[in-house]
Amino acid sequence: MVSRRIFIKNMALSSAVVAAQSLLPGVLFPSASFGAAASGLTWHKTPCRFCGVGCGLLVGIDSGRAVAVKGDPASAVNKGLCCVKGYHSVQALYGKDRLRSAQMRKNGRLVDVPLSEALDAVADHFKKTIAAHGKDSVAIYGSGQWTIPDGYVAAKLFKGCLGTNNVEANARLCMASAVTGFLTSFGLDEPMGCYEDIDHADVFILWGNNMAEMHPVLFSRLLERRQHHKRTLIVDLATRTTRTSFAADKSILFEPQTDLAIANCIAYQIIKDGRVNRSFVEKHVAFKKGHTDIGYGLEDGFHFKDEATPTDFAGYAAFLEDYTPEKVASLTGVSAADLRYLAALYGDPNRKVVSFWCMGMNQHTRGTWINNLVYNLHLLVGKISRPGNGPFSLTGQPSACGTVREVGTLTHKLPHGVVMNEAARKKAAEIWQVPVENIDPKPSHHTVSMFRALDSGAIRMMWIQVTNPMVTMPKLKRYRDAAKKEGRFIVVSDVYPTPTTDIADVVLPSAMWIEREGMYGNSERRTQHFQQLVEPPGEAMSDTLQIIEVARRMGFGDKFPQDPKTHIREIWEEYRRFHDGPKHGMAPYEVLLQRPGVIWPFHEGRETKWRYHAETDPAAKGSSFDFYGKPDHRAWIWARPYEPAPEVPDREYPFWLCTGRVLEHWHSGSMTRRIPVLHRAVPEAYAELHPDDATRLGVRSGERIRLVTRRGSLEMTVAVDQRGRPARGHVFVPFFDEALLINEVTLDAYCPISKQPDYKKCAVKVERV
Amino acid sequence: MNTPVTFFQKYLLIGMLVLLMAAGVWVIGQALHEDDPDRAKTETGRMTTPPLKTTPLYQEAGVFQGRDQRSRFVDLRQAGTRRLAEYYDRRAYPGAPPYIPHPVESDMKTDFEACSSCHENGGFVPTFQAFAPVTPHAAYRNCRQCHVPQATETLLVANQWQTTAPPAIGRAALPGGPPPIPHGLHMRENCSACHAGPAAPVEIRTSHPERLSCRQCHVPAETALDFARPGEQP
Ligand code: SF4
Repeated sequence: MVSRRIFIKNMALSSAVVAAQSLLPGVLFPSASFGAAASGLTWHKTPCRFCGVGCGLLVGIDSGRAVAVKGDPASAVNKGLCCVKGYHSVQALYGKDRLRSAQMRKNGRLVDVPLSEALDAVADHFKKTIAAHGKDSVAIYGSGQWTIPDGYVAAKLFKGCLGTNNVEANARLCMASAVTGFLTSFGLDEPMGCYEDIDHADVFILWGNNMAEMHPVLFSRLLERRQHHKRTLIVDLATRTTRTSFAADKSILFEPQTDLAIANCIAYQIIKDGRVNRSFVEKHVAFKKGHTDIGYGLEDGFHFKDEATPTDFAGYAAFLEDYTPEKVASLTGVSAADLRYLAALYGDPNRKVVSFWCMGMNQHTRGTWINNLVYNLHLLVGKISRPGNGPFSLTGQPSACGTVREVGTLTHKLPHGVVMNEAARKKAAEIWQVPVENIDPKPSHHTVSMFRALDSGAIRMMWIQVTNPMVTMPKLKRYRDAAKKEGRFIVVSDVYPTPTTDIADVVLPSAMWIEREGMYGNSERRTQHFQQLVEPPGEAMSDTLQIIEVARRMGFGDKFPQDPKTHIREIWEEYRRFHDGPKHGMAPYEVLLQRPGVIWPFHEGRETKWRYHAETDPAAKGSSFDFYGKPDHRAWIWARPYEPAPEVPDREYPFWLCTGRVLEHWHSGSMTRRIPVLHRAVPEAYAELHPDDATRLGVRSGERIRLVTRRGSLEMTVAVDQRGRPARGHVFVPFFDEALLINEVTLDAYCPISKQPDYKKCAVKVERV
Repeated sequence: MNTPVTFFQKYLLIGMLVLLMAAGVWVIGQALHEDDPDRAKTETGRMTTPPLKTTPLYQEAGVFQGRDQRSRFVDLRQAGTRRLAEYYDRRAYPGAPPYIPHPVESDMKTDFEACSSCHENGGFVPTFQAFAPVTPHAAYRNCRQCHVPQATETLLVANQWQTTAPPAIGRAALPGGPPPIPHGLHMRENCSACHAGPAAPVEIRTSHPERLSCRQCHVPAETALDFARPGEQP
């Protein structure tokens, strides 16, 4: 009976479908996106507050509060999809302990004071410190979460007005190797391609990049590509098995640090297989080698300068003879067959290949080298700067590119060019309207060195904005003790109390994200503007305005716009002058207002999606590739060897320790841990072990272990086969938890070229508690 | 099937056909009914600013997509007990991705297959003694990017977040008329995922799941303003 009933109903249904389908062509559906039910609810575009993917959001505002989020379907980045952080991002505005008032330390305790009093004190202390100890005794330490105007006014005040190059940002800890990688290989920073590469590629090779968790919306685009384009292959090259490994078509595990050897081996095999794109290499590539055995920056006052020595294809090929698949297999733990397979993928002329990477390659004591080595692969086979072909260095923070790399909030940088370059200094002085002598031609401290200078006393006063170094610095205890030393003065601008505000002498409450107007710049050179959508709480003020207020109190008021209504626009239009021209032109303010992001170079009204090829890049000369970042108009292939990590597991400390993030939490967790759904999903940090190691140690998930390194020790709970599975002999710990500070035990070794620390490798002992 | 048909069997067949016809009449009759007239209240919401006009086509993408509803017709009729209050309880705001209220098998394997066995087509899940809600956007494969389980109920710090009230249901312009769609359609184009079948919250479950062209009668309410000729007030 039942089946007959279904049959008859199905008949009725089929005719309904036919009727509906015949209706469809003529039906004009209204373009509704929301109901009128929500009275007063309006939707406004903004980039996401969190990661470097830079998704476009629409934030729902009702009665002056942010009440809902949806993905912006008009954004080319995410096409309407977000990740769980983005969807719940607006809740980060409303944590109960938001900083609403300024605080100053009096008799050892932080007490509330009026904001104007705190700003007076900051300006005063800057003046006194400079008078007593010189201009280089003060510093500002910012962030890849600074908006572009924040970073711009910081650079202008410190480099242009105060005359110190003590300007750094936490992006040094996440993207510095990417920058030096780009500069050494191409002479210009940031990727040649854009996210649209995903829609054209056949093969994605992920180098130490757990994209499913760290760049979730982009990873969804990879999965979508694979669904619609059957030949798509995703290969996960990693030291830990993660969500990305499970979703990939192939997961290859390697020993930490040996990615250097893997990349050289792939290059060796590409040459062996006769897959080199000869004409591309002859016309567009130059070969170089640099210094070797370059150290790890562990000593105070460490100094290193690389030099490029020319070599040629034959010299490069001879250098690669050490990297045969058989030799490399035993070093890396990757089978010779897999190494050949990777070379075949890169070399296959009928497959378009995109390589993705982020912290795995950047937080690396040979970070610059491994960036170079992956570029080498794309250059050898000529798979670069064309849709679907290219190396793609992903960025972690929402504006590490926009604010730190483009505005140049690093010690050696200016918004255009470097401080060492006279023309760059002249240009900056002219736009900033300061005497050119103000700009110091010598870079001072990179981040680790800056905190070491705080320890030694060379730096006496530091202003920290939008970052939480007392959670994120490696070998944390040393730098916390440094900041707490007598005679140091620390100003912290933030939105919540953190371990960094705990050590502050002055805390300034910041207006965050959509509580002020600003711009971010994401991984794909896309600049995105957001309006102020809600009022900041209490006396909270944007970081831009805080800096302008302090500048005014120090006598530099005339250098900065003073009208709170128009200051962001004025700053943007001034900043834009630095980048004028087809190589880096930025969109005018009005264009940013209208669009969900604009990719630079924006030239004569058009975005440049793929740089360095005449068909897509107005700055490229000739009819094909033109790597105009280098004076010889060639991209450079670098012979860079494998060198071991500074601290490798031994008898006493037999495990590798790797640190990182989880999907739910953003960096040090000060925002995401106040978002209910995110905190409840991952309430505290844990130590991941391989099941075999857990068995051997006699511990199970939920039980306690102690992690001991040469820097200190930390007790935490074990997680076996939960979010990820480290290889045997490895431990993985996320760093978001201020109650379980894994950076107490990490090592402050860094890449001597980029000065970026390696948070992924040190030796640790695991004890059962 | 070679057995000769007896008279008794013939009568049985005729009886069955009569029953089937009756069932057909019942189905069509049901379809003619509209929503519970109690819910069909008119309401005029107001919007201060007209909403942003964004690319409209994405909203149409899934209109006739989704499950093979015909073969699951019986399920769509089946009544569950899920209430709207629970539906909203799992979401930070109307339209937010719901959290995962149950333990998950693996935190590492988060591919679609892990979730799809229950959430692609729905059905009764003995482990949880419940009907599984159906995803309205099965095309997205990386479920755990947006949907996360909850390991604890406590908070680190309280949050003073407030959201808007969920859209009012019903709201047909005329008694018995088709109510408009009060929510956004992006990623929710497949109406029957939430409005039909045993996992649909009872308050918003359609009385006529066999009608496949939902948006033939139910249209999005994009604005609360009335028509006005250029330059004139409504
Ligand atoms: S992927 Fe990154 S930018 Fe996109 S919603 Fe998630 S956190 Fe925000």
